[in-house]
Amino acid sequence: MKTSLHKLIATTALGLALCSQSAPARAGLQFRPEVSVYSNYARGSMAGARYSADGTQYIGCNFYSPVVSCGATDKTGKSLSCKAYGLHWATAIKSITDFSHILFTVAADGTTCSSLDVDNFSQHLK
Amino acid sequence: MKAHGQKLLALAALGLTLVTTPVPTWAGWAFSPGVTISPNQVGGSYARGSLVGTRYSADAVQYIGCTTTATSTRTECYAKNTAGAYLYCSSTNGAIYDTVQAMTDSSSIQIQVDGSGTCTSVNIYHGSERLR
Repeated sequence: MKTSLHKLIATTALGLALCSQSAPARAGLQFRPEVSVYSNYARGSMAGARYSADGTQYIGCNFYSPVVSCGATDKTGKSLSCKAYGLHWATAIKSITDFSHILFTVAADGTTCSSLDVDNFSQHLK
Repeated sequence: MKAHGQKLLALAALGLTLVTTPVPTWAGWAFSPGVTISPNQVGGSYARGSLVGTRYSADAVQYIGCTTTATSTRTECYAKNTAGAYLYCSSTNGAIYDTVQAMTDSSSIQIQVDGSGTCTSVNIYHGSERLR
């Protein structure tokens, strides 16, 4: 009787111990916006796009000094891209990391980038 | 009867454990190609691949990467594909040196090489779909 009770307690304790060994709590401010594409600008976070529920959206930039091109597609398939030339763009491109938030705007000609903002904040981390 | 009860309890505890252990969600568009090496149109060759796709490929052969030397603004790039084909180039071109500074853990790289082993261009791409 006692042995059975011990086994029961041990099994329960093991179960509870395993339950409490789950992944560390991921607290802290989190903000990983998915990709939004508008008529003349697009924005989104790398992590928000990569780990979204759909398999469509992305945002990113290509660098071939001094040429920069950026592109984005939202979850509905709406796309926007632009290209820019000039060494000053390199500084922004070099600050893109795995968890950046990217915002690029497109000039009236529809093909030239008019601005590129790269934000690296803790809340954008996965 | 008691043994049955214990088994039931143990299974319940195990089930609870599995349910409460969070599993990462790997949704979203993912595209991380491994290394490809091919001839180009100027008598040389090119290599391209993503760092993530290469590093976490099924084989232990392929790799891709570049090194820079600040004292001479020299860049050297290396790549090997799954089949063992190898590419190497070097350059002291300032634009190539500058481009390589933008590499991160999750970049994709494209390296163009001429027939003499000089890097003629390097492209670095950062995109959300390249994240692991």
